[in-house]
Amino acid sequence: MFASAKPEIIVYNKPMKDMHATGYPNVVDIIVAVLTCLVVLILAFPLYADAQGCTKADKVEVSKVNVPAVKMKAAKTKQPEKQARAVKAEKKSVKKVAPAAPAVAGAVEKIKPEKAKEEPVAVDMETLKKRLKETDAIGVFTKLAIRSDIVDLVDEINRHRKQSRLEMKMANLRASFDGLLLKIVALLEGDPVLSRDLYVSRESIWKSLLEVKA
Amino acid sequence: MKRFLLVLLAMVFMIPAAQAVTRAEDIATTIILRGHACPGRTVSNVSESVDASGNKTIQATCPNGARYQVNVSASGRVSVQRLN
Repeated sequence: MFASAKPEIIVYNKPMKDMHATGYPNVVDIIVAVLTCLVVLILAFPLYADAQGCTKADKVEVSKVNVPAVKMKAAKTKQPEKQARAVKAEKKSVKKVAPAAPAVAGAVEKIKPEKAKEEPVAVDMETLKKRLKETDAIGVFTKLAIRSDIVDLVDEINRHRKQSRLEMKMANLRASFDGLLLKIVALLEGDPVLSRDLYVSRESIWKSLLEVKA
Repeated sequence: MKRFLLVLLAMVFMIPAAQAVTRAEDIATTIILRGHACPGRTVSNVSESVDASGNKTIQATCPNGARYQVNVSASGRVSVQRLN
C-alpha cells in the first residue's frame, strides 16, 4: 500500500539523485548561509542600539536612591506612631509595587548632574553640520524644515538675550531645543551613527547655541 | 539552497537601498514636521512649481485624502498649509 513498504519501487528523479549524491551537507553552503544571516542580523539590529538604552546600572541606582528619599519624607512628616507604622507599611508596598513619584524625581535630580558630568564629549560642530547636510537618511525638504526650526530657535535665543530675559526663558528654550533634537534624532533612523552622535553631543550643541551671537 | 542564498544576498543589498528616502517620503515627512497629519508617511499626486523670485511650491496628497501645499521660500524657509 505505501511506497515505503516496498523500497524497491521508489524511483528517484534526477534532482533527488543529485541531492542524495553526497551523504553529507555542503559545508561551504552552510558557512555562507550562516554568514549571510549574521550580516542581515547585524544590519537589521545594530550593536550600538544597546548602548543608547537605560543600562541596568542606572536602574539599580534609581532603586537605591528610592529608599533614603522615602525615609526622609517619613521623618519630615513627624506623624504619630500609628501613622508612622502605616507609612512604613505603605513604603514597603510601594517598594514592592512601583517607585513613588517624588522618590523618582529625587533620583532623577541626583542622576542628572552625574550624567552631565559624565558627558563632556568632544564634538566638532562643523563636522556634525556637514554630516547632517550630507546624510541620505532625510530628504532635502526635511533638511530645510529642520534648518528653519533651528534658525527660529537661534533667533528666539538672541531675542531674549537682547531683552536680558534669557535666564527667565532658559527652561522653555531648553525644552524647545530638546524637542527639536529628539525630532532630528527620530528622523535620522536611516543614519543611526549620526543620530547617536547628535544625541550624545546634545549638551555641547546647546552650549554652542547659547554662544551664538547675533 | 543556492536560490535561498541568492535571496538572502539580495536582502543584504536591499537593506541599505531601502534606507534612502524617496521624494514622496521627504515631502510627507516635511508635512508631518509642520504638525499636519499624513499617515503612511508618503504622498501622491505631487506637483511642483517655481516662481520668478525662486519660491518653490509643492502640492501633494496624503493617503488620507488631505492635500497640502508646501512652500519653500528662496531663503529656505518651509511652511505647509492644507488645501482641502
